[in-house]
Amino acid sequence: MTRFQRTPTPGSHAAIAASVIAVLLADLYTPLGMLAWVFYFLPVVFTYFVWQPALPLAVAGTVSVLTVLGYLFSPPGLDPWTSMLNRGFGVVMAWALGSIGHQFVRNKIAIRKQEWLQSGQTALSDRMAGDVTLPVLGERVLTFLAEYLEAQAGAIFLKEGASRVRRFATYGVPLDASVPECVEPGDGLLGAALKDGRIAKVEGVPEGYLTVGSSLGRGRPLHLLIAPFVVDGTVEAVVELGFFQPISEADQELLARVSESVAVAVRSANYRGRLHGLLEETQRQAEELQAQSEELRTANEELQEQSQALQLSQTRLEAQQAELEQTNAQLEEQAQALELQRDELARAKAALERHAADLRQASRYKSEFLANMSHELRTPLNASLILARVLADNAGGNLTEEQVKQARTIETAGNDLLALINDVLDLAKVEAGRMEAHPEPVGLAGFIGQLVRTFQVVAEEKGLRLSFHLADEAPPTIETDPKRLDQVLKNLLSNAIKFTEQGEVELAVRREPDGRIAFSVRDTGIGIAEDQQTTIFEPFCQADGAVNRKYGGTGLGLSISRELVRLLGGEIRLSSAVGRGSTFTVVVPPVYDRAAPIRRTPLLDQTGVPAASAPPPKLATRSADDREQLPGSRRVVLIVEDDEPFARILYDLAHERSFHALIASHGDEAVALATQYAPCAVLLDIGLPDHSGLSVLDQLKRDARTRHIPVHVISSHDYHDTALALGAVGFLLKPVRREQLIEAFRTLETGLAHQVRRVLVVEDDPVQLDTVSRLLASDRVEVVGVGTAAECLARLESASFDCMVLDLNLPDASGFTVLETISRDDRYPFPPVIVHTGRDLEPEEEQALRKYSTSIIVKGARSAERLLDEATLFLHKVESGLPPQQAAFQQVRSRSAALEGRHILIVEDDVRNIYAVSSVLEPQGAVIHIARNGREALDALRQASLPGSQPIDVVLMDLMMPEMDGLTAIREIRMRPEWQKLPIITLTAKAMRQDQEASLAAGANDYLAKPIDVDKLLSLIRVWMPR
Amino acid sequence: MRTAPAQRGDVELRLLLDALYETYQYDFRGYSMASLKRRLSHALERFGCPSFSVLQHKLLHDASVLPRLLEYLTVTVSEMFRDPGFFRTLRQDVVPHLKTYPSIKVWVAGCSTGEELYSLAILFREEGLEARTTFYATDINPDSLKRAEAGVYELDRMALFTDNHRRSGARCSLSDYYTAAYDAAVFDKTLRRRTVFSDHSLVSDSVFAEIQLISCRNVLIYFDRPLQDRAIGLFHEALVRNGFLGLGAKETLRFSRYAPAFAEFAPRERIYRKGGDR
Amino acid sequence: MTRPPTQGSRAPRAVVIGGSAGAMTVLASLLPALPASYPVPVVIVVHLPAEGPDGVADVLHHRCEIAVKEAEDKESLAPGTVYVAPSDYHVLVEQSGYLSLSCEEPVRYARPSIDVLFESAADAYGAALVAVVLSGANEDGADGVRAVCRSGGVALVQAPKTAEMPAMPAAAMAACAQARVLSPRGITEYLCAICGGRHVS
Repeated sequence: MTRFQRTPTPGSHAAIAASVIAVLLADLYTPLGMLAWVFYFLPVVFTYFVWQPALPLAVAGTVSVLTVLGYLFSPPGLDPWTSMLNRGFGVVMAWALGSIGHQFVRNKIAIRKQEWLQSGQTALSDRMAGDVTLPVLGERVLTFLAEYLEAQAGAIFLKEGASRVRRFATYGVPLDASVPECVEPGDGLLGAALKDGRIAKVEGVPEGYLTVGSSLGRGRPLHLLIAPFVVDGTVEAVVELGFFQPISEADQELLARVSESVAVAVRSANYRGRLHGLLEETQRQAEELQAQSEELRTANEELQEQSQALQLSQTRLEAQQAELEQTNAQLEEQAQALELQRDELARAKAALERHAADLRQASRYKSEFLANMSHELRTPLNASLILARVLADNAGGNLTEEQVKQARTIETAGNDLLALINDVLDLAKVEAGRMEAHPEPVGLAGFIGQLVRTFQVVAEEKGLRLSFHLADEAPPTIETDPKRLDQVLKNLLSNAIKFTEQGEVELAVRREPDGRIAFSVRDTGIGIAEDQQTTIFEPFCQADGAVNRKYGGTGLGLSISRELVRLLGGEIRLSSAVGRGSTFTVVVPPVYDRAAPIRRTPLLDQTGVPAASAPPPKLATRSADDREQLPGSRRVVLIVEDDEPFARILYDLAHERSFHALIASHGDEAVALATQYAPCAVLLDIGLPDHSGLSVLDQLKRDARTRHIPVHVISSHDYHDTALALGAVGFLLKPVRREQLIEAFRTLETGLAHQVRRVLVVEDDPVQLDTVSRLLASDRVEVVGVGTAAECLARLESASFDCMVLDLNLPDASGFTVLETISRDDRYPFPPVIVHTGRDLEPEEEQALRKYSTSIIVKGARSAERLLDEATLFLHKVESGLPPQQAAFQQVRSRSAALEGRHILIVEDDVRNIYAVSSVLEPQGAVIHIARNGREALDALRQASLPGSQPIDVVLMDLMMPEMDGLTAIREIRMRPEWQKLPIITLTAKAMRQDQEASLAAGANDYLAKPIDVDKLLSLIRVWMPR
Repeated sequence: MRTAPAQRGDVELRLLLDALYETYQYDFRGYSMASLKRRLSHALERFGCPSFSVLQHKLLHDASVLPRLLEYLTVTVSEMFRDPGFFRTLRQDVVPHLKTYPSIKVWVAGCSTGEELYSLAILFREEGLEARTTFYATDINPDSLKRAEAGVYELDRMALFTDNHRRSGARCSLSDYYTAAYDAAVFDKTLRRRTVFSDHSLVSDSVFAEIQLISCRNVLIYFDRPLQDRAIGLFHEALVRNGFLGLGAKETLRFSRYAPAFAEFAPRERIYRKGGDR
Repeated sequence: MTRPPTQGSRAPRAVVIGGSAGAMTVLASLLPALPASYPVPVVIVVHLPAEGPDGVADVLHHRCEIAVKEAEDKESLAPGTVYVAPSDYHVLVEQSGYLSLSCEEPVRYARPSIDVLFESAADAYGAALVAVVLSGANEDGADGVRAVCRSGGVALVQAPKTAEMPAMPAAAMAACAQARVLSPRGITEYLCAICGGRHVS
């Protein structure tokens, strides 16, 4: 209350005291009855002006006592009784005045307090007025309160946003003092105030509370006042004030009074803040919109620019296009011109080809003529030579030495005859251009010397001088075929000597300027007329028929020489004049060039004698052979030979090598036997009565049924290259030695080890059958074609096949039936099957077929390619044994039969997987049911649970399927109470953990990752199989 | 050839991909980094993350980020009958081979939002193969798969699709296969009757069926070479002998170690054929 | 004036070039000036219509000593070779020194995009990169050039007044203040100087 008491006028207390003392003295010194004490009222009234409510009473008390004292000690005067009475009244009066005074002063002070409160409120309102932010507001409120309440320190906490209360300002608090930044409800005194909304007063503040600081030091306030500001029951702010002096009630009252207005102010400031934020946000958005519209505009411009750029490039492209079109037109014109030229060329080529064919035919007539000739010579010789040898060997030991000697003589004579025939054959070879050069280094000096020495004697006998001259610049050695060169030079030298009656013959060797080597044979003989110089090299021509008769000779020598020299890569030149001799010059390269093309000139034209001139075919006298006793043997050899004795030799040899043998003496018979008996090998003579063995060879190789059979040619003509080119495996030139024949059989035997693969084609359409057979047949693949199911079964029963191609539409039964039959009946082996069908298959059909066949081909434009490919694959695979997967299946077959008779449902749309899984499970005795998607699986399960059917024991479920996937199916299954415990194993290609977890979550019992591990699959099924 | 010192961003990117794999089993570590980094940088903007590390933190603590992030990790740009020459070659040269199979499986690997699948489905219907064909459309992005299954495309893309379709050698109009509604084209539901849509990762999953034709176009370019090799190995395993593999116009098997196991069937159109095991 | 790049760590290890309308003219004179033994790879993006013939590499190939080919996916970058982006595919340079293709959305309407190439190359080669922006009608390449400059690479921009279409070089200049503005001939000389090779006379 002291705050509202006006400081008393100085000396007022003294004045009161003095007046009291003055009255006392006056009273003491005046006798009783003098009413001096009346003046005691004056000091009492004086106290009214001193702002102390207690003072009037105190003074009243004092004067009461003094009045009594005055009565006792005043000199006697008036009646003491009356005096006492008076004084009694006076005391009463003094007390009355004191009481009034007391009341008066109190009222005055109360009015002052109200004024203070009012003005505080008003001033604070003024301070808070206006558009102030929270920090400013906090600062102002706190400063005002601190000043107005004369606090030494303070802090204000305002509510910011929805609930947080944060410190906004401090007053008189040093910067480093620890004042909490935020306050939570219930946290300490502030928190309590915040929570309860009540003013808290703390007297005697303990250490650690608000501190007061100034430049002179710091102190701790003794009293604390914590006041919340509340409106509508919520605390909007809290102020904490520290005082050195005690806290008056007025302070608290003031705080209580301003509580609401401050709270309202805080709240409005909050509102304002929020509003301001929103406003700013709106402004920002507006700006953004502007920016976006700007962006749009630029994008638009850019588009425009780009479309301009596009137009530009389009123009450029159009220009290029035009140019291209021009070029195109030009090219087309050129192409047309080229086409014309091409047609012309084609016509010319056709004409040429016709000519070439004519020529080839002519040449063949010639060859056949020669072949017949030499065959007729060789055949008898061949037999006699071998038999002579057999005799000479005297294996039986029953011949005399003389007889052996005679046999040797026969053999020697035969060999001489053979040499003669070989010469004739050589001739034929040269003509046919079949001669080959065998180059080797040739020392010229030695070579020439040897040559000249050979003729020295003849020349001397005729009285001719024979000399030779080797030029210095000639190389010491050249590389060529010495045999051929020798042959040519011998021919020339013998001619020179033959046609020279006197004079000399000289052989000179020198080097031509171009590096080639020239061998010149010069004579001083009759010479050759100029008009005949070219024709003498033509076959069957001689300078003069008369000359020929005189000197003898075939007239072929020069032709042969010319061909031989050509073979060596050189040429023959001739310079001659009648009567003055001739010089033949052979020019050959110093090194023989294999790559150089050898020009061949047909030496014979159509004058060749056709085959008809051959001896008429002998009546086929069939030789005894093994055809009656072939117990399905595969070791059968067909001997094609018209020479009975030689055929016998071969027959015996075959038996020696434990083959069965068939003998054919004619070509036609040979082909028929080969087709019928399919022997494992053919020994073929070329010179046969009806046609050439070469044509037999050709027929065998063209027929799909026989093309795989190895053919070994034994002939008296050197058809080595031709025979091999036609597909023979070997060639022997008659006469043959026994060792050679044995070797030939050995070759055939090793060939047998390389078995020919056999394919059975079942196809009712003959054209298709033929096409497919042609497609598949090869040297190593034999194709057997049948048109009906019955034939197919018959064939399968009688022979084994490596592969079968099956059409589904057969006249007597469907392919399905065939497959079922052979799979059921043990009589039939079951080769791998390729189904080759003309119609589309229903999924069920395909699935049924897959049990028997891994390869199903629908006929169409591209099916042939695939058929060949897959058949080849099978035939190849047969060789390499079981595929690894099947091997794995076999391994597990031996396990215990836990699955015997159990029903397993495979839900899977991939046929390969169905096949793989069922081929593991079926051998274990399990009964497999198949569904191709979730819906089918549900149907199958429903079916199986009907009374009378076998229930499913385990389900194998793929996840990725059409129509209804695996997870959905599992969930559906699990929804049915009776299938709650049905074991389900999912098969998944997915590796992620959660996919597998998803299976289990959907209700599967287990899962297995693809590719499927057979062992794992079996063990999983065993685990889950209900017992 | 190391070119620049490892930058912090690259380390962060690797860690992010590791985290993605460890937490959600999505493995993008074998993707082509340059393009992936570019796409993820866009993702940073979208998620308001200053760095890959922040994004990683977000991803690890908030699974709902994953599907939105997948949009950035996978490329969903596609069009129907893209490179019409490819489809023309399919029609003319591949279909006759496929006709020899009683049932056919086609795998559209990385089908994204389904444009390639519908293209093939339409082509197979036009060539009379639809009835015996099963299509497998696989992708790792579940959202893309959903859109593929819906078969709804913006109407303004139809002009391009129609043109492509015509140039692929079609004998009828693309509009026979869709209905236009508002600004979208809805493709005939029966086109996907024979299709299995499935989540399948070329990075981690294995083969699920025996396939005659695989179309995986413009998918491999987002893989680095080892991953490309893995995917091609999968294709090799899945294909039947002489099965077909179609790649994007600028993709090639040339750098793959499986190159010898395939023969070029139509090199210009990047159609390969699995060679035999002979 | 052009100064040849200095030796040492900042010696460029790759050149990337971007352009659009009007760029072919510059390339047709620039590339033939590069020798077959050019010491670094060159990667080029030119905007072309998506359906156009892929003849850019062919056209340039016949005129140049240096090998010019279309970029292929996962192809290793080799010195002395110019790789041209195929139409309708972005080309990116991987850090391990090979190229990747991508069919992502077009960037600034462009696929291939210059920005995509430049940014990935800047990431892969850092300071050892020379980026060239040629004539063009849109702003593709500006972001790319900025990325190149930021990672310390060299940016060359065809002087807009020498370009058929100045928009692209102008945007690049605006994006990157350090970019050197050169005439087509100046660019050719600068690139030739990388190998210390011949200059166009």
